[in-house]
Amino acid sequence: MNATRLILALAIGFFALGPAALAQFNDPAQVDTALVVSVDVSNSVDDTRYSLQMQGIAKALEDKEVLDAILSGGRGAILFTLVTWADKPKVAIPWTRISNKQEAASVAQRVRQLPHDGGEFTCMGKMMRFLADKVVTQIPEKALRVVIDVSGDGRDNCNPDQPVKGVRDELVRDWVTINGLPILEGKEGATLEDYYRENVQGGGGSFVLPAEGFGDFGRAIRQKFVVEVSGGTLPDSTLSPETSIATLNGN
Amino acid sequence: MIGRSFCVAIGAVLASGALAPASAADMTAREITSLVFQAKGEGSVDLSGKDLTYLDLSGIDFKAASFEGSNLHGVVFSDSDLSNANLKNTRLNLATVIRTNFTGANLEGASMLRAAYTSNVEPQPKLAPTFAGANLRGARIHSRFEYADFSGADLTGAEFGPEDPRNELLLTARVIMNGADFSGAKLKDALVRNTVLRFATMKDADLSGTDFTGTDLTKADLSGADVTGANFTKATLYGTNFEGAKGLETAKGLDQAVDFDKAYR
Repeated sequence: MNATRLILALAIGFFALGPAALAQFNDPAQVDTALVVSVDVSNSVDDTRYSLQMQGIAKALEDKEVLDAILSGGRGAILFTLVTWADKPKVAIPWTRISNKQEAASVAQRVRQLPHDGGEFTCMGKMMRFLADKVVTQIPEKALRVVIDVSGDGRDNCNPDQPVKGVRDELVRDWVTINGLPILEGKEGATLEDYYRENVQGGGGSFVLPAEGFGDFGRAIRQKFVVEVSGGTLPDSTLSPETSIATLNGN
Repeated sequence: MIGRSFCVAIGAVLASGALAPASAADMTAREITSLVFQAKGEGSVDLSGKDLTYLDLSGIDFKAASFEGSNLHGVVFSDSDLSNANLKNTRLNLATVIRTNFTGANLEGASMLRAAYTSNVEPQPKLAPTFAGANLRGARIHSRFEYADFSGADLTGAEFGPEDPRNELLLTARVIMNGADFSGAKLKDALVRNTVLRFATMKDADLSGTDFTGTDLTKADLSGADVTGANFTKATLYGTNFEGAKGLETAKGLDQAVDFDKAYR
């Protein structure tokens, strides 16, 4: 290889890696994934549905496969935060490190104990703005990847100042991956998956994984966690038979 | 023809959102949050002289940050910690301050016109901001701060509401601070005219030279306060507690006050 080709190869490598990855050379990551779990608690989410969501998240954190995925990462640790959203978003569990079974169980216990503090509307745009401005900006450790996990049973009905996809694009420009978990139940069930694909999903390796109603939330969130904390790889074993591989349309 | 073109041009400007106030800010909320987060443990953040109008800066730890001279018109500071922050000569007009902590902050010369923490008829004390120990010397306050904590604050020369009745019509009706706590606060020479201070606590406060003209002090607690030279002309003093107040004999306008005979002395 002559000098020109070597420089060309290095230049291609530089741009292919991108600034987020290159930053690791100077400032190594301390965790594999910084995971934001953002849960809809609007009016349509009654106590039973709220409980199904929180139990689903707690069980997923205790799941052996999820824990294996966390511990088998290069750093063997993730950061986790839980945001609930309706009229206003709220950090229910601030950024917390999970690097072993006990820490995962402790976070799961906190999730189970969260009181149902809901609201009226589905202010998805406001939630995305909150994540962009207040949550992603305050990740306490360097993370290899930042993943936002948005779940809900409806589209934005809050007349946002900025379209949901506008904030989504802003996050994607900052190397954040946003995955969607639409809960296909109620009057918007038939169209919600497409809405999530169009407005929520974004970033490298992103996907939409729907739940067939609130009763199916636990299964879906567990599958999502495995994919998200294992670095965006999509082993077929993580998919339920009824979930099409086409749904996991990584970019 | 010119008129039509003009209308089209104005319409285009409006449609483009060029007149939207949010576009004026020097920084985004995201940039500010990042700045504050990165500065943690490495000293305070300097945001002085910035135009930060209409930004949502809620829930952020701004302890000891400097905003001196900044335009904070319409900013949302709900649940933010601004304790010991420098807010000297800032414009906080129309700011939202639900549970905002201004303890020990420097708000000297600040303007708070229609800053609010509630739009309810019956405000909740737990949502009120706190200004305990803050420096509000010469500040201009025309806001509804019921139940707010001003204990130990320095409000020397502060102005509650406009003197000019035309401004009063343009803004809101009277400044309402029912149930606010001014215990041990300094309101020396402050202009507290036409203000509603029912059930407010001004225990042991320095009210010397304070102008309470037209102010409703129904059942307010002024016990132990220094009211030397204070002006109570046309003030409502029904059930007001003056027990142990100093200099009451030098106070002005008590003969023109309403229900002074029903006050506790």
